[in-house]
Amino acid sequence: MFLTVIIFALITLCAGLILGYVSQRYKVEGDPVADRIEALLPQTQCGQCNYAGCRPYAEAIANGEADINRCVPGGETTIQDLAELLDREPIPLDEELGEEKPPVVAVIIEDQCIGCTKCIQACPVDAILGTAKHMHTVIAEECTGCELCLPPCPVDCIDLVEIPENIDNWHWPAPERRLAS
Amino acid sequence: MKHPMKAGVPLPGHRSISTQLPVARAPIPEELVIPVSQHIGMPATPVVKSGDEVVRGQLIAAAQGFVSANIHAPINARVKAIESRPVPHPSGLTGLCIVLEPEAEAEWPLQVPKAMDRDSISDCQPMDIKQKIRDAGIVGLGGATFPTSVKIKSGIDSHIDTLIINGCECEPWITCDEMLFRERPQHVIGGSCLIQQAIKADKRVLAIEEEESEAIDLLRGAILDCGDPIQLEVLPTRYPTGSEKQLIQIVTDKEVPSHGLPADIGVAVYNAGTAAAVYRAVMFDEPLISRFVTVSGPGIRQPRVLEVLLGTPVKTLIEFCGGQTEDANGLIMGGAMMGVGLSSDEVPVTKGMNSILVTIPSMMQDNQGEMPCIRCGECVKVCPSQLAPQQLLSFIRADDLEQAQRWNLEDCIECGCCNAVCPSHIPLSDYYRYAKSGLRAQGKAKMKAQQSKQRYEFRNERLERAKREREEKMRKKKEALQAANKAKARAAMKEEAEAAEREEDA
Repeated sequence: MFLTVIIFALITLCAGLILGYVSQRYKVEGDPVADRIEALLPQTQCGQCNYAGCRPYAEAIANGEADINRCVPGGETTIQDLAELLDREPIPLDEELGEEKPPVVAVIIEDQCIGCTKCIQACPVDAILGTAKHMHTVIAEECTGCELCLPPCPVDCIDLVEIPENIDNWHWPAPERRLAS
Repeated sequence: MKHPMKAGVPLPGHRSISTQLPVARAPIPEELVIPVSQHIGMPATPVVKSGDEVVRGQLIAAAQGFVSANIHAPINARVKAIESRPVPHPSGLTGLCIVLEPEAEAEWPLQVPKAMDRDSISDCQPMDIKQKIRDAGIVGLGGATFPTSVKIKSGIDSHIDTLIINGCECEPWITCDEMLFRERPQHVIGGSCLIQQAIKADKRVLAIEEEESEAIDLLRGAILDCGDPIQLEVLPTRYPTGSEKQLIQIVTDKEVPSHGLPADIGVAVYNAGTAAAVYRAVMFDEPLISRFVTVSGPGIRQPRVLEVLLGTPVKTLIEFCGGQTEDANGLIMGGAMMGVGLSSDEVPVTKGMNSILVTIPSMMQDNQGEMPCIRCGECVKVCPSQLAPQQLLSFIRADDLEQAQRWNLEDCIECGCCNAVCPSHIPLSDYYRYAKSGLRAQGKAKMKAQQSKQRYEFRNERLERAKREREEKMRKKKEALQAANKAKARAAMKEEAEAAEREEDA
């Protein structure tokens, strides 16, 4: 009996030492769960989820502080992907934050722009080009449609327009199901 | 034939109706509409402006980037406009086009097929051939429109043991390659010599379907004249023999890996029309400005193959072929199986357009309506890519594209064999097209997200750095100021001490 206790104590001790060593030796830098969540977010950095950007929101989800239905630009697709990754039930988008819209880009109405550079400072992806007292313009390919440039504009000269359908972004429609009568 | 294809379906070829008449030249239209994007890759950039006079063969839009192709003026003309026009695309949308107005008496000189000069072909260097192909704006003329120079480059860089010239037009109705063999066999053979020389392939196979019987003898003759050891493979007619991956498997018994390229297994496949275009580009310095187009289908009065200047409206071809019959109800670009419907006959002929079919109501299968899938498994038997079409269908209907992707949806070649045999008349390949383009769109969105993230991180880093630099500068200034103050204080103290000393001395 005494021997058994000693043997088990030794085994436990060894296992503990091994585990302790391995956890130090193969330490994973950063938070892999947050990384995987972040990879599913659309990276618009818009803050519509009430977090400072996609990364903070991903961390909040990973820590269990935030629900998975707060990403407005990602919409239903992102919620589905997150639900699958985290093995949760998909839930509808939080209505308080906004509703899902088709992708948009910001366009500056150039004759109204006064060149104040406020939108340039607000743009999280450096997609606005211009300098003080000169007209600004949006690099459409880089714009994520995050809307962050709208509030700072003193003359309201930024519009959000839907991306028009062209040959590059067109895709085949879903086949219509016509059942034989 | 070595390795018969078990999958696929036998289809009626409908060849003879468009091969009765010799190839004719389509009339030069009042205006040529030339899209700047007629190939896979970046669109070409126009290098002319509205009002310019251009001559036949002049570069009018230059390739942009590696995967792209030049575009040339097919005839002496004036640039009427550079604007958006309807282009031949399933969406029916418009694209940027250069509109040319041919001169009143513009000439289209006839290239008389000359006897092939084997020695002058042997003098060509691989890189020169590649450059000439690049300059001439040649793309895969079988319909894929991948820039040929890029393919040659990858052939030069890797070891190719078998070069296959694809003369199997397996799609019903299409006959333009057969007519090319009949009228200009030496161009095809000459082009194959040039391509082999460029990519240094060990052996060369010319694959043709047995239905193209009249072309076979002519090709045999041309091969004898050429004197090169070219293996002529006459394959039984079965759809889709002419599809690249399937043809490779039939000829070499090797399978192109999923997501891989033929070059990975040492094979290169070039379309017969592409080979002929290569010959003309290298030997006659003629850029790609015309092509053979089959105008056929039950809804056209005089089906035939035409040699057409790129940019000619489809309408001109149909009028030249006697117009449509009364019951004609639609236009298809490409073959009856894989082709896409055209919404208008105003669209121009582009580099990849091998055929125009005029359809009649009874030709279209989908007016019967579909029935539920009964899991009979016919589609599995015929799928040339060895996929499970009925499984893919259920995933796509459930909107689970990821699962469809795991079941190798991307290996689907959209041949439509599954549609042809489905007893429930389900348009399976329409679902695959839809799902594949959905996956592509998702991929693009992911790329964009990645890019945005990079820019966001870069911006944060930049702001951080600017802040650090500012703080550093302020700190230095402060230090300098403090140092100056201290020095001043010290000097003052010293002066005071000196003054005190002087006082004492006094």
